[in-house]
Order: sequence, then structure tokens, then C-alpha cells
Amino acid sequence: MDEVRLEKLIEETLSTMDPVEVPKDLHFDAAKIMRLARMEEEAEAEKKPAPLSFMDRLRQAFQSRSMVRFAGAAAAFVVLLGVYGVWKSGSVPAPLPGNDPAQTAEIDDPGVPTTLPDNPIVVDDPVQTEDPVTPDVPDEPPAEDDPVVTPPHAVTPQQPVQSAENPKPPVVTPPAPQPPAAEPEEPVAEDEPPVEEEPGEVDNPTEYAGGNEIDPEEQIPDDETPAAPPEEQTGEETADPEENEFEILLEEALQDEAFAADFAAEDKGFGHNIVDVQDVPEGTEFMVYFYESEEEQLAGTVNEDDIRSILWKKESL
Amino acid sequence: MDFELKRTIELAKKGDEDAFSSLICRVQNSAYSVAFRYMENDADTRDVMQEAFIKMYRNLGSFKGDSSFETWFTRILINCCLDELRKRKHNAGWEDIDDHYDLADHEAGTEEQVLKKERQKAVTEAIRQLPDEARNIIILREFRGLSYEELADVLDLEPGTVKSRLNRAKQKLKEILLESLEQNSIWDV
Repeated sequence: MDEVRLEKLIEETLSTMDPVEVPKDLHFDAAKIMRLARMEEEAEAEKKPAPLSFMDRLRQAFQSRSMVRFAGAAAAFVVLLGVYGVWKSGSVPAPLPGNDPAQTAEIDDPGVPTTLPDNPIVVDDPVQTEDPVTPDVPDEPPAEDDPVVTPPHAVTPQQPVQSAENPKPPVVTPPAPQPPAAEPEEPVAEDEPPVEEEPGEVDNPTEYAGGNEIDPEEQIPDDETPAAPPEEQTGEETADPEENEFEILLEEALQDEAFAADFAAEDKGFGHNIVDVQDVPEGTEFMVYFYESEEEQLAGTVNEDDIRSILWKKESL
Repeated sequence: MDFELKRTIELAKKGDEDAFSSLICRVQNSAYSVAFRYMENDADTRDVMQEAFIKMYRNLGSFKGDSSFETWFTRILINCCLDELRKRKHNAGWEDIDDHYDLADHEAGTEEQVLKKERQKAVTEAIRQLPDEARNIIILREFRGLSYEELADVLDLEPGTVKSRLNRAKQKLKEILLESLEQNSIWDV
């Protein structure tokens, strides 16, 4: 078949193609189409991503590899800069807490009150009163506020110094109470000037200017410690240093078996009170009064007529 | 664009169902004849027309009146048809169309009528194989009867190029039919 004839047939076929018969029932529901159109719009609106905020765009920008590299390099530079800065400032160490010169100057300034008010805090527990020479406010009567004047019966009984040979059970030896007559002899607590304490210093023994609280338990001296005389342990403010020396000497003397035996022979089991210690040609003479009862011990009464003399012979040293 | 059509379009934009229904009625018959040339069965034609009407409603705001409303809608309809055919090509759904024409063959009576139906089937098959642009111009010109100006408007072409495009489309159709001559004696007269 030649192409001309074929073209003619094609044209003829195209022109004689059966017309499309439109169905008579062709009908489209306008309402339904409009509803479907709205639904499509809503679905597309939901699928459409929300407009990016500035932070989102920034985040996307930083998610790129080049930006990550740049950020990493910048971070490394900042770290190196920080290390260099620390190294350079290392020659001038930062002041430690409490060593700050400014703070010290402030504390040293006499015009600046750095302590609690002058009114002392009365501590009922005499154990906490450690320093026997710590004065109270001179104006205040010691009988009212001073814990030192706590009646002897309120004092916690302390273990007295015992001889090594003394087989008796531990007898509570009260602190050497100061008889009323002896008070004028020991005005240390009231009349002595303050020692190692500046005006305005904290009177409360549980605190100091730094504000750190001192555990009262830590202030309780060990009973076995010979350096802590009973007078101190009881918190007696009028404790005589001479008596402390007596007790120390007694401790040394009790190491001597002969002296210890003599001492134990005189001991009545209610404690003792060393009235005096004197050096004599034969050795050291201890003038000791041995309490005869608990009441006497608690009252601290010394019977002058019953003071015993116990000699610590030199030969035995 | 006449005033009545413009008013109807404005009302349809605002959601007036009657106005939109009148717009559908205005174009549905001609749209069906065109869509049927693409889809070649009633059900698919109706489906694709509904899709075209949905797009028409959604895009009423973009209609400026530069062309006729029918031309504007035909453009939407052709795009819907081509989209649907592409989907079917993907899913190899041409068998339904062939079955449709097989049924038509059984309705034929005389030998001449059978031969005519066979030629129409061959031309339809050849048009189906045409590229989209050539197929559009053949269908709109030969079956829908659009003028060159209308073709240029619908296909967004220069009026001077429509005729040459139409000739090129027919030449392509002839080549396709010549390739099938040896297997088909319907052209031997």
C-alpha cells in the first residue's frame, strides 16, 4: 500500500470516527466535588511543612558538614584560648577563701564589728567552758552568769587521780571546789585581764569569729589525760595552776611504788585535795587531805586538822 | 467573557453550589467527549472528569478570563487525562480498554462495519502510542474540532506553530500505522 493511499485512509478514518456518545445520566454532584476539593486542600495543608522559624533555619544551616567543621574549629580555638588564659594567669593564684586580703582588712578593721554582740551567751553545760582564764564581762556579777559558779553538786564527777596500787573501784573524785574562804585567794577568773582575747571576741565557746561551730564533745578532755586536772575538766574557772602542778607532781610521785603505797594507805576512797607540795631535804612532801565522805567531797571541805603529809623520798627517784 | 459567566464564577469561588453546578453543566458534555478519547471507557472518563472538576473548583481563583472558560477547563481536563494514563501505563492497565473495544466489535454487523471498526481501533491504538503533545493535538483537532486558535490557547502554543505541530502529529500517526500493516490487513481495500 502506498503512503498516499494510506494517508487518505487515515484521514477518512479520523473523520469518520464514531462520535462519543455522552451518557444521558451524566451528572456530577457539585456539592460533593466542592467538599472533595476542600478536603484535598486541607490534606495538602497538613502535608505542607510549617514555615521554618529563624532557629530552625539556623539549625539546618549548622547541620551542613561545612558548618559543623567550622563550628568544631571555632570550639577548638576557644578551648585553646581558655587554656592559654589559664596558663597566663597561673602566676597570680586566686586568693583562697579566708585569705582574701580584702576580707582580712575588713576583719582587722576595729570599727567593723566582726563578732557577736557583747552579751555573752550563758552556757549551762560547764564542760564547754574550756578556758579557765577566759573572763566574762567584768560588770556582770559572776554569781549570776558565770558558769564557773555552778554549784559543785551540779558538776559531773570526774575520775580522780588514783594510785596504781589502789585496788578500789573507781571513785569519783570531785573537782577541787573552792571553799568560800578560798575565793579571795583565787580571783583569777574575775580580776585577771583577758588572755589571748581581744575586745569583741566571741564569748560563746561554741563559736568563733569564723562562724564554724565547735563540737562541744571535742572540748571534753580525756579523763585519762593527766594534763587535764579535775578542776579544768569541771570547767571551774578559778582553777589554780599551782594545783595543776601539784597533780602533775602527784602523778609522777605515784610512779614510785613506796610513795604509791603510802598514798593508797591514806586514801579513804572519796578523793583527795592536795593542799601543798614542798621540797624538803628528804624529798618532796605532799600535804594532802583525803575526803572522808561523798558529801565532804562534793562540798570540797578541807579539814585543816586532818591533812596528811606523804613524803616522796628522793632516794626512790 | 460575558457578565453572566463572570458572575457565576465569582459565586462559585465563594462556595455557591448552584453556581458551581452551572459551570459543570456548561462544560461537561464536551469534556466527556474529549476525556473519552483518552480514557476510552465511561467509568474512567467519569472518574477523570470528576478529578478535573475538583481541580477546576480549586483553581477558579486563577482564572483571569484571558481565554474562554471552556478552553481553560479543557486544559485542566487534558492534564488530568494524561496524568491518569501515565498512572495506568505504570500499572499496565491497557487491557481494560482493549476489552472495551472487543465488546464494540461484537456489536458490529456487516463486514464493512467490522472493517471500519477495526480501522478505528487501529487508529485509536496508534493515537495511544503518540507522544502526549501529538496525541493532544490530534484529539482536540480531529475529535473535538477545536480551531487553530483554540488549539493554541489550550496547548499554550503560538498559533503559527499549531498547524505544523498538527501535521507532524499526523505524520507520526501514519508511521505507527505503517509499522503495523504487515500484521493487519484492514487497510487493504
